[in-house]
Amino acid sequence: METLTDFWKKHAINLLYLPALLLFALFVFYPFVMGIGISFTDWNGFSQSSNNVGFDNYRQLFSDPNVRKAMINTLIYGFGCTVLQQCIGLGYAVLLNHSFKLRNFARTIIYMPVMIAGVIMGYMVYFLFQYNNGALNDILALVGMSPVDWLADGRRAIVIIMLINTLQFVGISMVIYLAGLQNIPKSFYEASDIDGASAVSQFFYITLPLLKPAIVTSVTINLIGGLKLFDQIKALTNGGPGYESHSMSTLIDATYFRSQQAGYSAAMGIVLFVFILIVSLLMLRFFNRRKFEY
Amino acid sequence: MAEVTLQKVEKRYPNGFEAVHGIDLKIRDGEFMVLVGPSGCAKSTTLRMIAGLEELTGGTISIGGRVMNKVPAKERGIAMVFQNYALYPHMTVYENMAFGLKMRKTPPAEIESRVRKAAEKLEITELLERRPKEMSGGQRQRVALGRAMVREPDVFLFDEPLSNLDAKLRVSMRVKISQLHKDLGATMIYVTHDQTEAMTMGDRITVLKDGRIMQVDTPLNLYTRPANKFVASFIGSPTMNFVDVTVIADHGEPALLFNNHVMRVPNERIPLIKPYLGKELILGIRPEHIRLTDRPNRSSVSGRILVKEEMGHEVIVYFNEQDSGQMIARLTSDRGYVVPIRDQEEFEFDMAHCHLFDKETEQSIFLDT
Repeated sequence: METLTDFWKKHAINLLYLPALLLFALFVFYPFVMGIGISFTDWNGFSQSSNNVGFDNYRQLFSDPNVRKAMINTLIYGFGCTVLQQCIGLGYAVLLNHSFKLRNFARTIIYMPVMIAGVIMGYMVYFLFQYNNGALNDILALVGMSPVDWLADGRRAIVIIMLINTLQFVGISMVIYLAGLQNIPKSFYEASDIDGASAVSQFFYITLPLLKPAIVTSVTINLIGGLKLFDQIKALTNGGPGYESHSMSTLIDATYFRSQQAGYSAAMGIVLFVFILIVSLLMLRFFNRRKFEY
Repeated sequence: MAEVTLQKVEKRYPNGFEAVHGIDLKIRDGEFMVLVGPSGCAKSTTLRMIAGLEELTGGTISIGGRVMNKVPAKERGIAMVFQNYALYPHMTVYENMAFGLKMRKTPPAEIESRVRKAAEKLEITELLERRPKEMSGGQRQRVALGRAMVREPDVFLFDEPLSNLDAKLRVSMRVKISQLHKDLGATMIYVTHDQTEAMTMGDRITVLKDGRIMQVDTPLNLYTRPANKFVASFIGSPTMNFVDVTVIADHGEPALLFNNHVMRVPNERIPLIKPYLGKELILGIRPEHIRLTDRPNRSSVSGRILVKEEMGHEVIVYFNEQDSGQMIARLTSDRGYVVPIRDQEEFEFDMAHCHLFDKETEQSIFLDT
C-alpha cells in the first residue's frame, strides 16, 4: 500500500508547481479564453449584455486605418528596438568584456534602467521632452533658441519612444551578450591570433558565430518586448498626436477604455497574440538554435 | 624551419609573481625539443611566450635569428597545437584547417591543395565536412595537427596536445607526431608533464622546475646522468630511490655508510667522493639497479616487502629498509629471480649505476665525469 511519504515523494514536484499553474490559469489562460469569446461580441466593456457579431470585429480591423497604422508602428517598435538593442548591447558587452577600472560600475549604470518600471521611465523622459518647462526646451532657451514641441510630430515621437525603450532595456542585451562572450574559450582567440586573424576578422569569424545562442535569446526577448510595447508610449504620447504613435497594445487599451469597444479591442488582442506567436516561431526557425561543444 | 633562442627570458606577472627566472635555451633547427616538468614549472608559459601569446618581462626570444619580443603571434612563423584542440566549433574540419591560410589571403586553389594533402597524410580526408563535435578526441587532435601543418610554419609548438586522450590513443598519436617530425624536419617544441612522452619523443629534453631550467640533454643522458636530484627523481618510472649516506674511510678508501651497511663506489669515482669524507650525501639508485641476493653481506640490505606488482615481464617491489623509508626495486624475471617473493628479502645495490648528490645543493657530484 502506498504510504503518505511515498505519495509525497512521487508527486512532490507536481504539487510544487501547482500554485504557479493555478495563477497562470486564473490570470493568463482564463482571460485569454474569455478574450477569444469577447472578440466575437459587440460588448462595450461594462454592460451586462452583449450580442454575438461573428467575425465582424475581425473583418473591421483589417480595414481600419488606425489598426493598420498601429500595426506598422508595432513592427517599427519591435524590429527597430530589437536592432538598436542588439547593436548597442553587443557594443557595450564587447567593451565591458575587457578589464578596466570602473567596469562593474559601468555595467551597473547600463543595467540600472531595466529595474525601473516602464511607465516611470516614460514619465521621466516626458519631463525631459515636454513643450512647457521641459528640460530640453529649457536648454534651448538658455542658448537663445525657440522651444520645440518634440512629441508633437508623429515620426519624431516614434523615434523618441524607440530610443527610450532601447535605453531602458539595452542592459538585458548587454548582460546576455556578456555571458555569451565569457562563455567563448580564450583559446579560440589565441588560435586565431596565430592563424593571422585581425581583431575585425576575429569578431566576424569567431565572436559573432559563437554568440549565436546569445543572439537568438536576446533578439527573441527584445522582439517580443518591442512588439508588446505599451508603458513608454502610454506615458510619453498616449498614442498621439492623433493615432500617430500608437502600437497595437496602446490602441487596444484606447479602444477598450476610451472608445468602449471591448469586443473590437479583444479581437485586436487576439490578432496581436497570433502575430507575435508567428514572428517568434519564424525567428526561432530562422536562427535555428544550435549549441556548440567546446 | 628555424632555430629558436631564448636569452635570459623572464616572466613576472603584475601581482609580482615571477613565473620564469631568466632562462637560456637554444633549440636547434629541425630539433624536437620537449619541455617537461611538474605543474606550475612554467613550461606552458615559456611556450606561450615563444608563440607570442604571453609577453616577456625580460630577455629576448629569437626565431630564425630574428628577435620576436614585439612581433605579433601571426608573424612569428609558428603554428600551435593546443591541449583542448581549440578547433572552431562552428566550422567544418576543412574550414578549420583552411582558416589560417584564408586569413593570410592564400589563393583558394593553394588552400584546397594544402588542406587535402595534410588531410591525406593524417588520414582525415573523410572527416573534412564534419564539425568538431561530430568527432572523437583522437580525430580532433589530428585535425588540430592538420591545421598547424597546412600553414607550413618554421616552428611547431605543442601545448600538452595528448593529455586529453586515453592511454592507447596517446601512444598512437605519439608515434604520429614523431613520424610527422621525421617527415617534415621542422623545429618542434613540445610541452608535456608526462615524462614517458618526453623520453620517447624528444631529441632533447628541457626539464623545468619553478621557472628554472634544471637540465637540458638527450633522453638517455637525462636518465643516466641526471644533473641534480630533481631531474633524477622526475625522470624514470618508478622513480629513483634516495637515501642519506655518510662518506667514511673504509680500510683507507672512501666508502658510503648507510644504516650500518658499507657500500663501495666504482674505483673511477672514488676521487669524486673523497672531498666529502665525513660529510653526508644523497645516494640515488634506480629501481632496476637493486637486485635480490641470496648471500647477505655488509653492503646488502634486508627489506620487508610491502607491496609487489607483478607486471609479467618484471616485478615492482616496494620494501622497507629499517628507518630509511620505502624503497622500490624493479626485478626482471628473465634474470632468474624467484617469483613469488618472500615477505623478507635481501637486496643489494648495483653501485656501478649509483648517483650521488650534494646534500645541500642537490647537484650531482658525478656530473663532470
